[in-house]
Amino acid sequence: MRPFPRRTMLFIAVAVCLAQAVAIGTSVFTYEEVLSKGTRHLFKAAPVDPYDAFRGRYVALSQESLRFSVSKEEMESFKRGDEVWAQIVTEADGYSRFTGVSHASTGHSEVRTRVAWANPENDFESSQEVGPKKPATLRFYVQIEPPFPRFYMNEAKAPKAEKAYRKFAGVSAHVAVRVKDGRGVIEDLIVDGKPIDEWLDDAAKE
Amino acid sequence: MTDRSFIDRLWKELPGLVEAGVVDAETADRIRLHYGEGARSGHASLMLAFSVLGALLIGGGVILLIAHNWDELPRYVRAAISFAPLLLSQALVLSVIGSEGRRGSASWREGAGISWHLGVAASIALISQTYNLGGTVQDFLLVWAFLSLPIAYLADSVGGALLSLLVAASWRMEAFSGDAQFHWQLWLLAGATIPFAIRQFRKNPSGPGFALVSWGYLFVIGAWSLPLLAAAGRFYPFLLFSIAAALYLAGRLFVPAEGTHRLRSPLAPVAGGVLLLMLLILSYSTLWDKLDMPHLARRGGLEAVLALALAALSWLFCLYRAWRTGDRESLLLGSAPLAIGAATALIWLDPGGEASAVVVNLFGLGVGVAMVVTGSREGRFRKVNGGMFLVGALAFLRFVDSSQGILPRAVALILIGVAFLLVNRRLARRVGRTP
Repeated sequence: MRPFPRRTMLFIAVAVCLAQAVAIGTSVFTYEEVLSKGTRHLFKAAPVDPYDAFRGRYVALSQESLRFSVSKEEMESFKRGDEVWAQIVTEADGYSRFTGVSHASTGHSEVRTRVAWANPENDFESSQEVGPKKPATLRFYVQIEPPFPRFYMNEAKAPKAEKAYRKFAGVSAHVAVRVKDGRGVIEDLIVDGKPIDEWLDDAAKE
Repeated sequence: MTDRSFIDRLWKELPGLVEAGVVDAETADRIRLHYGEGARSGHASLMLAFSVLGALLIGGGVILLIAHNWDELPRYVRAAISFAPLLLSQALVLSVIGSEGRRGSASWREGAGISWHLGVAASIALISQTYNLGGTVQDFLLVWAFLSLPIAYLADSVGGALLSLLVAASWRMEAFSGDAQFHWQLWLLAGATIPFAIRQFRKNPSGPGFALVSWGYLFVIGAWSLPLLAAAGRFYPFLLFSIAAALYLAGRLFVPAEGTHRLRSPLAPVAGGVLLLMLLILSYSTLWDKLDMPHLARRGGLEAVLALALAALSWLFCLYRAWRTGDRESLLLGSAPLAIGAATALIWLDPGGEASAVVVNLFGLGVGVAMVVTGSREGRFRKVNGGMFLVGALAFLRFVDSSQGILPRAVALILIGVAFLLVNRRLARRVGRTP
């Protein structure tokens, strides 16, 4: 098979280059739009520091209320790795949490994520009484992957952030996120009311 | 001493000759190497090396400076810089395609193709970091794989094709969640590289281009087949043996062996090695005992069925071709799926796996002995050693196999040892030597 003439190859190559740039550029445009026009939510978070071989040092974040009690039929309809929509509600204290999960968009405030697992579990009644435990109730749960699992930091700062967070136990941390059309982009990681960089500088002085 | 004007003229003519199909790119490179190393001034090479090194060092320093100040940069600047790896690598590829000289040079094409591949990955990674995107390694690999699909063709780069296959294989392994799913993306990604592989095969079936792409496909096939265990269950050994035997036979039938370095044609050696290794592994009854009934109705079942059908048909086709060409040597190991098929059928009669393991052991013994006998006749000591290794390994594994009773093992080893001695005596008589 003879190769195409040089001009044809060049034309095709330019088209492919443009397609790649547009594909990546479109994603940048989308994320910028989410950050500028999305609804702001605050999720409570607890940072831990691991390493992503492809994308560098980041602070791993875990949000609360990722597990939902569902019916048996619903549980069986979810499989690990399924792409789902997690609904978001803002509480009176100003923090947001996830309230439910669905296969399709509900049109409300929600964000896309994946199913971590879907299993039944026995819920034993907690009791201080001595004697045999009462029979467990079998409940069905679905847990989602944290939609905002990481906050990238300077390689030198990420372990310091984790160390300082452990040192100052009890300090509150939450992640500020903008959500629009099922996409969420992290604005900042807030620790003790301050952006993480600022808090880190103050913690270093103490 | 070669005329300098001749060499200058040759340098100018070579790209046109390559484009016209008079010589292939590899021959052109060999011509350049032949005249270039001897004829060109050592100063020119040194200057080139220093300039490349200088550019790399400056580039590395600039990257580190940017990295040091990355946090200080506004987000839109970071997003813009994230495009740099992609745009620079694209510019390099366009310059190679646009220049006759560079387009005819394998070094330029490979360098451009590989840097374009890595440029795509770097840009995706930097964008993810800039916007603190979650997502898994699996998501990253899939986007990378699809965006870089055309690179191998446009840059005419074997390295680009190999990278595409390795990324696809890595994605499959990452995407495996313990419950095999039908990953149509893998079929699409691997299938898209097939025309490129065919072109490399036609150019030179025993050349490094096809060999490297073959390695890529071996990784893809391995990544594709491993997660099918859950769905295929007891059919899994037959699936793996059919795939390996088909690759082994195809490597021996279609890739010329003469004059090629072993590493340049991996199909037959690697697939053959996998067959022998799996024979040793499946010689244990405890493994057959652990194979569950197939779960073809669960997720991944359809792919397992398709895989079984495809693997079996491919193997049968290659086996038929080997039989028609009279390649007995290939038929020896290439018929392994027959033995494994029989062993698989026996599981239903003997769920403990004892009978299946006996079949595998007997087959392995037969292959080993046949390799020793035919190798001795042909004077091929490597083959003799391979056969002796197989027989010796099987004997050792049975010797230490605590899942079997001591007495049966002792009797079996003694009987086989006696058989060997008798055969040896007979062979010695045949060649007229006293043992």
